[in-house]
Amino acid sequence: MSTSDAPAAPEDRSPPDDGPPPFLGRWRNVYLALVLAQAVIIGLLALLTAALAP
Amino acid sequence: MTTLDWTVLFATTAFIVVWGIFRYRGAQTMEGYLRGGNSLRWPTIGLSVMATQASAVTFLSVPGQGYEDGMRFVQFYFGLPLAMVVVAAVFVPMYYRMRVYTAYEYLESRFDLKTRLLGASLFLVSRGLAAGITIYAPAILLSSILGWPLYWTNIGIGAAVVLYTVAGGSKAVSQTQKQQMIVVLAGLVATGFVACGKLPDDVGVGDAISLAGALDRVNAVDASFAVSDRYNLWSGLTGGFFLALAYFGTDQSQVGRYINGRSVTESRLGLLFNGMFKIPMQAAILFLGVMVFVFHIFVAPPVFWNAPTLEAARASADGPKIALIEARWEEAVAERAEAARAFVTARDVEDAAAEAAARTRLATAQGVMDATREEAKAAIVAAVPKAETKDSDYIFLSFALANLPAGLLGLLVAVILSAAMSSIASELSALGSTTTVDYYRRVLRPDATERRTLVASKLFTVGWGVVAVAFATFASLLDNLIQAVNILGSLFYGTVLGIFLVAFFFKRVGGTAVFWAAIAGEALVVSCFAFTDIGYLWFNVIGCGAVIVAALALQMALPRGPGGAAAVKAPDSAA
Repeated sequence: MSTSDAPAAPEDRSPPDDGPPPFLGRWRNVYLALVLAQAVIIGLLALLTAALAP
Repeated sequence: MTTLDWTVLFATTAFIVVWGIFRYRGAQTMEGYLRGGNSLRWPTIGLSVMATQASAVTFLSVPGQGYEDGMRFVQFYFGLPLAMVVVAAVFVPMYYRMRVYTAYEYLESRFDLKTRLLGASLFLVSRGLAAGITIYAPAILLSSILGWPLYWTNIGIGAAVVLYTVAGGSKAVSQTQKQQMIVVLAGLVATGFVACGKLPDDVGVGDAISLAGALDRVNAVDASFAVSDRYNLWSGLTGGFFLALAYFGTDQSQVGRYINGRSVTESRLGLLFNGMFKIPMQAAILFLGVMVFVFHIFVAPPVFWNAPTLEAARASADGPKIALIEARWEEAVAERAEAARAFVTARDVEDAAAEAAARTRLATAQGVMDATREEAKAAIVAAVPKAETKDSDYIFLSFALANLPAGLLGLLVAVILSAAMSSIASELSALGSTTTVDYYRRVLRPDATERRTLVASKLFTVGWGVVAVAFATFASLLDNLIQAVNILGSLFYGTVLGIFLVAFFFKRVGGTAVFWAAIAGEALVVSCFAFTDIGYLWFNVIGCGAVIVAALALQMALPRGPGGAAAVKAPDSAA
């Protein structure tokens, strides 16, 4: 029995060994935000390129 | 350099090295030495990961690349953020679960010893040689432009890094990298302000960007597709993704930076920090080079940036020919400056027809300059047969020497040394730990005590430092080898990534199948390099794909048994 009632966070150093970890899990929105932010940056660079092309 | 420059340079560099040695010395266990006691928070991990990738060459070459070729190189990094997501989601929890010291340990627990040693060997060969280049590249530039003795510059950089890496281990490397990266970013921001401030009074930053655009320097995104084209949107997103995945996921110099975090969460946040800021940072460095280009529209640039080589050509028997080319160069430079002023004036008065005419005139003048420069390079090689015609690495440092105020030049040289030391520290630390964990402790001395293994690890790090400095010292004799080493690294990543992806996602595939698939994949990549003109970023995709397909095919053909699918080990049986 656990010494604490608090559920163990999935990122703790000793997760269970059965099967691969969930690919995205509760981090999904963080990953999505990063990818979207970079897509916006690439989009802005593309607009800048198009606007200033010789 | 002035006394103030030397003071800033010495104070900045010495503080980081001495602090790294004394603050973190005395790790008594392998855990403490190789994983820093798993105590790092995400900002340190993020800056450390960033500092490892950004070597001195990044800050010397990339602005020069922006000057010569515009911003298109930024596309190289377009696949990196997505790769950071995959490394954070898949690789990090796997390494934490196995509690590995090196990435290659995982390969034995998943496959077998021969696959582990294959991965470790590919890393040691490519990174061992690359470490010498990491020292040599900034040393040769600093010695030729500032007149520093090359031999002592190599030894100085190498010795400083070895001292704090051996004294403090992984934690010292990460913590010094955090400070080095702060110095680097501060130096770049200050230099950027100076570059923009040096523009003529009647040319604003908006005008400068328009001028750069008119001369095709704001070419950050190229959506056209050509396999032989090194940098475009598609090679950046696809090849760049696989390259970044291989580098951050399987190269011990990076894995060693993020497996020493406090938790999976800290490591993930550190990697995502790198994913968030890498493209903006590279775009800013390239933009700095573009601003230096615009500055030199109004302040005449030399026809060749490597001043000592140009001087040697002028002093040779071909001197008169060089002088004639330089005279034509100066005419073209004056014509371009005049066209640029006409362009800015037309923009100010919103005269579209005059702006279009000035734009055409600018492009024509630039074309004449480009042709004259090529002619000059050919003449220089004829005059000085051993001359290296690639001079873009000298552009930024030459600009800095001529234009930065006292103190800031010292800070910029500190930036270059900091960037060099941060990359070398990661490389030496990773080379030492891989030699210790994957060879010494696993194959040579499995029964060695903790204390003896720790001493061996430090000795291996010193040994790799000596190899790197020796290679850097003799690198000037081996120009072709340097090129070969750079290509060598890019040839291996796809294969190693393929091995790891099979390990993670194809549980039915065993060690023998993946080992021979890796050999076949590597042969295919080398063949592509030798017999095709495919851009090197695609080698990462080809190598990785070939290993996965061949491993699956071989697994189906192989009988089940030792090394086959039935022999796949439980994930907690790491050595």
